[in-house]
Amino acid sequence: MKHPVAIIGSGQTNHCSRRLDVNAPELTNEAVQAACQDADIDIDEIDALVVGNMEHFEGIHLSDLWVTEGTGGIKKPQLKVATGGTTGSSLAQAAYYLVAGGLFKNVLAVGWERLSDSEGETTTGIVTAFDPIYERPTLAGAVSGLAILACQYQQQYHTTPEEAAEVVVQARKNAQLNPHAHLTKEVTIEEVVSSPMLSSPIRYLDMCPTSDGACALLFTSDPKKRNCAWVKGVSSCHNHTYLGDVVNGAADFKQTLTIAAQNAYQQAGIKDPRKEFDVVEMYDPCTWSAFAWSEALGLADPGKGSTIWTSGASKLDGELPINPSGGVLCTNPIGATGLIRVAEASLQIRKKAGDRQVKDPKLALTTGFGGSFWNEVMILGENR
Amino acid sequence: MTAVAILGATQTKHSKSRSDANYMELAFEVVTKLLEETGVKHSEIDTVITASSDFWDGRTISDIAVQDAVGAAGKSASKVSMDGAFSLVYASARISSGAFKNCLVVGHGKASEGQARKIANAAFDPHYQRPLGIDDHGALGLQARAYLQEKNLSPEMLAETAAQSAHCYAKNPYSHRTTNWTSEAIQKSQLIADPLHELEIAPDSDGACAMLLCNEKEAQKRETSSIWLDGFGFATDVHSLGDRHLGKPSILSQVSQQAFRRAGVQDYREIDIAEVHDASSAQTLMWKEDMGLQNHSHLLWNPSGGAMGAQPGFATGLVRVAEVYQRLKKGAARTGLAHGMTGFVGQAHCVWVLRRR
Repeated sequence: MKHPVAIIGSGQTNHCSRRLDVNAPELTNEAVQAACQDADIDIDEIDALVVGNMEHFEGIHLSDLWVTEGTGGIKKPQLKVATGGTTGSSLAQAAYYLVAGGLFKNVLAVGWERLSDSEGETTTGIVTAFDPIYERPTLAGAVSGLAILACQYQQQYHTTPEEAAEVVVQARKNAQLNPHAHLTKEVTIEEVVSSPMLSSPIRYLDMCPTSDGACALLFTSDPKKRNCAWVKGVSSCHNHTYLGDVVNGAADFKQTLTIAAQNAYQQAGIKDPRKEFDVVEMYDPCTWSAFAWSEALGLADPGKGSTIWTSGASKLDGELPINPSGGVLCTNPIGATGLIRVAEASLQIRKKAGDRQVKDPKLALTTGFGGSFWNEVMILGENR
Repeated sequence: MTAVAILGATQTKHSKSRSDANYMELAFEVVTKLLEETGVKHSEIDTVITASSDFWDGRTISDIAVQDAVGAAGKSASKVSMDGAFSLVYASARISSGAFKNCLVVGHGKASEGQARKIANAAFDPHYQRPLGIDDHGALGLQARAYLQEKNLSPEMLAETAAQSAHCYAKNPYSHRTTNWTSEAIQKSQLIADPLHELEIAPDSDGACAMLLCNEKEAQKRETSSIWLDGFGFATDVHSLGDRHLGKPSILSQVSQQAFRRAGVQDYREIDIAEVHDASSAQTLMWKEDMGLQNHSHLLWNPSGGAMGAQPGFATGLVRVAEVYQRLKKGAARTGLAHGMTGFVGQAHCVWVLRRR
């Protein structure tokens, strides 16, 4: 009944603040061409597409129908999946199920965001995700929700801003080895903890950017003899619509990722995630969240997430490399970000990650995160 | 794709304005009714796919707004930002993969809370076409004129077709429009976008639709015969209006052929009933021809009145499937076709073939 699913091609643009030289169809076309080249496949062999983008941020309604000319989707089956921050990971999941369910053989997932000269803007858009009567007047975009998480985490576990800063210090170092990464300038802990405060305790350098960029990823049930990464586990979970329903502090924030992780681990036969995973591409929209997520994923005990970074285990040559790509803290084209996690993990498994390649990874863990504590987990492995 | 059946389908009575409910409450209404009718509990629903539009809802990540209403909290769920008919593809994939034994699909639209024409304008090419002020009605007008010219038909044909739709939707208890308009009255209605009058264009409605799909094992637990989603087809055409001839056959031809092939339909006469999303009475005619059904003399065509009776945003195509489902279930027919669209003048089409077995 279930078809095995492999990733055979990955393409990304070089993400940056502003791509004023291309429009959205042209931007996605770059990523699609790169993915097809990487997979050594002709666009005619693509059976279906799933594309994703936050139309509200861009001020372009039905943006998927506009980029069709760039994605190679003309006259083909194309679905749009847009779920906020998780858009990219939701795209990966949709592509997976379309292939696993036997509906199509080759499915191309394409995520993008291009906010530089649009009429929209991220925070303006995200604010509308909140209930217009009860929450919108007081909550401001993505930063506020994350600030509440960071506040509660800090209060519960007494983690310091310096420990949090270590996450972005390492991320920027990794990003320097990634030609696609947006923010690659090195930062020091000093610089991070003295950068302007956005929403306590999240400072400017604790928070991810918004980037212009696109990512395309090719899923198939028939990789033939190609170098590929196999999908071993897929899961998703989300809960609270209203932030006011979060009453158990950091535990509430970790709940859905814990559930999703356990579900995916069961599918992939993972018993000891800290030992069994060789590389992690985690959706870290701010430094503090990395600690909460690593605990929810079972990579560290509650309150001890920071030790993965402070001990150096998370470094490229460490025992559990986390975000060798630089992660979300360095690159965030919203419609693509979650997909980039899976793309980067697939490159790691396929040993095509260039200078940021982790030594001989067999199992990779990826997560996507977005509104209403939406967490998505996808596990990749080198064996079917 | 493995066998996927429909366990139940519900819809609201669509209307010009549901001032008594926000769209979460519309979704909750249809889901509650669906659970009552099917006897399935929330806890028994494995996964949920919703169909919603961020622009229409004025709410980014519009699926989050309805997640409590559809019972998606704590579950694996996702969304298709297209008409509900397309959501059924993703829902079927989730079931076919074996990961989920059933899937709830919910679509909603609340046109009364938005400025429909302005929203539609925002979907046109941002550099070249949007500044012209074109919207979906303008595009429908262009399409209708191109079609009349292509087929050498008089505009009266549009009114007559709209009157046939009115005859049907006047009998449909869920319809937004309820009057059995004559073609004379239709021609006297306000000219919106030449040659289309108001009553020759589908209305902007508030409404929702919910559907529960399941795998073969779950369907077989029920004693009655089931309604099966036997085949699908969907595709997206070029975006820019000038790049396709609006009066000639659309990509619906290719899409319906795909659905027939997947469903093993050998001859178009096997289709007993068809429900299509006709955004104008020109489309009521065009879509029939595009699917090669124009010579099908005993075809039950848009018995609900189609979208000309009610057009609740992204729920519209899902309602078409629900209408076919209900009629097959009652035994009125054995094989049905349901159609949905996304994008102005039908840039993307989706067709489903359903059978009772």
